[in-house]
Amino acid sequence: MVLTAQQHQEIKDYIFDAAQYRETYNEVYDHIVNALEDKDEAYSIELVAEIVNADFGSFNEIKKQEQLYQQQINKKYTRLFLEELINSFKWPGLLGNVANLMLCLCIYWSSTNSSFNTKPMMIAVFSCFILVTIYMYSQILIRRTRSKKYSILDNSLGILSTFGLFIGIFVFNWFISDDSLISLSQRAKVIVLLTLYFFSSMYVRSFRKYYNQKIKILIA
Amino acid sequence: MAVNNELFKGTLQTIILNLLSENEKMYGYEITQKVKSITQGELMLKEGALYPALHKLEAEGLLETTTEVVENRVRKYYSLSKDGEKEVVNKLQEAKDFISQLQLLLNLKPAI
Repeated sequence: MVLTAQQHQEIKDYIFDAAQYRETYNEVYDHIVNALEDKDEAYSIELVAEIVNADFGSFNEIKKQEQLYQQQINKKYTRLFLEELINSFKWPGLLGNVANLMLCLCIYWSSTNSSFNTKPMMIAVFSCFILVTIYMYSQILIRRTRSKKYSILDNSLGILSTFGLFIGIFVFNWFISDDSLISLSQRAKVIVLLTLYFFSSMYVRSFRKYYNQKIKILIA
Repeated sequence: MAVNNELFKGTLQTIILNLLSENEKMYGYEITQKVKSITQGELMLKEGALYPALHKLEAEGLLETTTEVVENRVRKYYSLSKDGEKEVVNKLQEAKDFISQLQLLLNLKPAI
């Protein structure tokens, strides 16, 4: 059968709540339209429901499949991001890490001779983490305004873009703040803070590369 | 006589990978129709099993996906990745070995 524009819209409306993410929604919609086009019967919304039930089970089944898919996608993209973090220790990313390490060592040696104010470095580190989170969430929201549904990759991106901030808050509360859970000497606090600074630099560079090279093209 | 679908569940990934090795890229519905036409309707690949298998292979990096707008709708195509091209050879060998063992176990003679 050949479907009219009105029938296409009716199918879209019918399956709108079947899937949370646009990738699943588009795939289910394409499948249903293909199945309908192969049929000789006259179009009816009951026929659409019949196809959904026969081929996918039900809307709940589609949602269950989608959840499973999301878990697999989250796992895949977390692995890719961790690979990118590790790759920052390979050429040419290694250059940035070596430069940062040298800077950390210089700051550490200078802090042994005089008192070290941790606040500017804390502000710099948290600014990096917060900027990544804000940028990523603004991108997710911009894409959401263009499309009726979120992309399945948005979920992974949301988690990964807050990962750095989470680590920063954790380290700050446990080791660096004045009333930290674990009491450390001033020198040890400087080492922890420099480690956090090193990580934040590595995290921001890796996230930028990961997003630009592996995600942007998929999610556009 | 229709084949019991339970029997080919374990080889679903092999079937998908093999179909994609023979065709540059395919979309979900096309795969179900291809299986139906090759087996002359004896094997009905259910979408409830096909899509999770495709998504799993995609997440494992064995399949790559691209989208195209066809007749005003977005169509997702699956194709073999480099790892997928290597894996299809292993999976086919596994399936051949399994079938030959099954023939021995069940005392079946290969169809002439």
